[in-house]
Amino acid sequence: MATKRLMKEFSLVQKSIPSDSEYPNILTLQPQDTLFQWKGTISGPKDTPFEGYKWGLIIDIPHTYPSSPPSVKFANKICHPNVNFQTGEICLNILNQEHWSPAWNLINVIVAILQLLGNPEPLSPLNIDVSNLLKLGDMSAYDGLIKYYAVRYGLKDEDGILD
Amino acid sequence: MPPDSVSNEKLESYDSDGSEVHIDSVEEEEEEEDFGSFEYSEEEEFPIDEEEGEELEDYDDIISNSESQFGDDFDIEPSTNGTTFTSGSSPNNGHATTDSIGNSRRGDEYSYGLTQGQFREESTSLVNSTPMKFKTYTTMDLIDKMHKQCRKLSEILVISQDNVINLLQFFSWNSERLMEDYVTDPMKVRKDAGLLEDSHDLTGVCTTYPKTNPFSCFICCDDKLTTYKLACNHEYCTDCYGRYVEDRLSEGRVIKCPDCDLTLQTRDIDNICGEGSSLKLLESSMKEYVERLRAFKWCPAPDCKGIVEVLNMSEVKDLVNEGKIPFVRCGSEGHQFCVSCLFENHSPAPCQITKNWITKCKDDSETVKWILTNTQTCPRCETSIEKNGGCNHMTCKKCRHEFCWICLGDWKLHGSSYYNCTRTGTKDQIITNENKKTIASTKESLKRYLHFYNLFSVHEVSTKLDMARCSVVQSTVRDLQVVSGISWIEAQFIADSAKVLLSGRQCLKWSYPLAFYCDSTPLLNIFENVQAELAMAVESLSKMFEIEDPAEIVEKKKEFIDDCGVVLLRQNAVLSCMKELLESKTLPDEAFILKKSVR
Ligand SMILES: [Zn+2]
Ligand SMILES: [Zn+2]
Ligand SMILES: [Zn+2]
Ligand SMILES: [Zn+2]
Ligand SMILES: [Zn+2]
Ligand SMILES: [Zn+2]
Repeated sequence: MATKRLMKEFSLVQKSIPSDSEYPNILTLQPQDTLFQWKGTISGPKDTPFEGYKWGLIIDIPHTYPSSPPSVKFANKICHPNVNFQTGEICLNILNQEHWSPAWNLINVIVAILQLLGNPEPLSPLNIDVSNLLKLGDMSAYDGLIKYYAVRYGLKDEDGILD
Repeated sequence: MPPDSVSNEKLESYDSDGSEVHIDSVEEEEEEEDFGSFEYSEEEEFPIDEEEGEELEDYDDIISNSESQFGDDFDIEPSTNGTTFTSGSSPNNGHATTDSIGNSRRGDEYSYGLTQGQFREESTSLVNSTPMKFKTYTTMDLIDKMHKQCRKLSEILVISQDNVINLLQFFSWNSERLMEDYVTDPMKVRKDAGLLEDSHDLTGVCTTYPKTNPFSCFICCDDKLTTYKLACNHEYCTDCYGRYVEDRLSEGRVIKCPDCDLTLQTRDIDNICGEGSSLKLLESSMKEYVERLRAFKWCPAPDCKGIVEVLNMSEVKDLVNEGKIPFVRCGSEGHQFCVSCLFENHSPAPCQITKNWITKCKDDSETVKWILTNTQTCPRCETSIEKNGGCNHMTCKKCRHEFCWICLGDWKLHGSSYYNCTRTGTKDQIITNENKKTIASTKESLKRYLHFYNLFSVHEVSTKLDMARCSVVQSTVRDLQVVSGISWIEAQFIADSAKVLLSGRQCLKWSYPLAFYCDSTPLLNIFENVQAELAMAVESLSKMFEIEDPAEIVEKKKEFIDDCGVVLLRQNAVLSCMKELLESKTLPDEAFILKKSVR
């Protein structure tokens, strides 16, 4: 079931990424050696401190997909309350088995991650420092810290897209 | 003696225990189903099923209630027809005779030698487990109860029972909050819970497609012929929908449409996964339901689904403060557990000690695990030795002393029977006075704790082994009965011995936390000697259960009965000694508020 579904998703992705204007922040999304390992590149959404910088995503897909969710983490360091700075692990409820639905696909997942960038959840922090700034409401410090790390670790244009 | 009079006598002994009578009345309606599943209840030789359940209760109470004062002389009088153990006179109350197994069911003469009133007074002062009034429930009983609550709410809120089930699941069975919120703003509550806004309950639609024009399912990406969809029109093939629902039946929460917030109703679940599937969801949400009910407790025994309602919950606090263990017995399995600690009956250790001990074990478990598996101190020169292989034969690098990793005993005394150490290490395992001095002198409280923890966990493991062995032996003897025609009464001693063994093991296990929280005093020395004796008796009885041949087991009936007698006797000694320990002034204050209360 997983393979057939992923084939279908692949053909959907080829049609809509990067051309579809519905997903302006998904720059690339493609399978690697197998259909069960994907990589993607996203750009920070407009009007967020992430705007203007790029990050890679590493997507591992279980053989029980789509009954079980894919696991997604950032490939390069990103400073965000719900992302582990060291490992790139993302705390996002739809990526947990209990909240995941087989009716969602990889594009939905990445859209949810992009939404998370602009709408952090300070109550389930994986990065205590930056989520404390958020809790204190110190937005200039929050934006500043994110930009500092974005400049430092974000993918540069000359890096091209991640593959 | 005909079976009838045997059972009458047993009934009598049951009644003479004042503290047990109320349970009888409470359990009356449950009795039949609770005890109906005892293995031997179907035997025809024994006409009255109920008595067997009572007999077992009674039997347990003999174990925990029987009077014997530590320090008295115990007379063991073997007789051809069973064994009678008589405790000497106790200081408070004249004379009490303790019966042991074999006796009552054979119909030998015996009596408590006490009036009911005296017995009650005596037993409450001596025994530290107090049976609570309770009612047992099965999963099905609770499902009925849940349905009843749903019916009631559905009448009050004027909505379908299906809706109520969804709403209650959404509100984690907090019916007060549901009522409050629903009365305030029914639309909002319905929306939040994923119900359609009008109260017409539209069931989903199952559609069949023609082969020529199949449905392309988004989840599996296959062409399928049958689909299901809710009112939201999110349609998936029945295979995918079925798998989706099946995966969520055990989570105890409302199940939503795969693609939106609309909630599946009971009928949808049954339509998709087959009739009765929604019951599984109801069953899995029962945990939250039971947690809402203060007096309902899940049996803590692993894999047990028994539920007990404590009818005199208000007394628990006082009992615990008095150092008593408020316990109940779950269903036919006879799991005894403390309703305050939600742990197995931990007699002789009082609740405070148990709670401290459990917390301590949790807190220290990582450290302990590491130290237990990696280091040990040479019992002669106290050099710390790290274990680096699997072998338990240790040689100290400093003093060349050879010792056993498990019990720290001299290796030479073990000979080649290392296996006996883990399983039965008795004398070896009990801390010697010398060892205790070194422990005190090193002041390494962790090490002291490790010592008791080690003993505690050894007996925990042994309990499991014993249980497994007991059930094997009981079933082989049952098989033999069928072949050889040994009567039920003749073979009953096996079941009784198993009970004695497990109860002795439990008493032993929980006596270690008790000892851990006591100061080192002469009284504690005595306690530990009594403990050691009980350990030996328990191991000896445990060994009897290793006999493979059922015929040999039946032949050794007398030995079983004798061993049981010794276990019971020593268990009583531990209990009485424990009482003195708790009364004495030697307890560290933080561990106890009990001193005064145990009188
Ligand atoms: Zn499907
Ligand atoms: Zn839907
Ligand atoms: Zn149970
Ligand atoms: Zn307790
Ligand atoms: Zn040494
Ligand atoms: Zn040993």
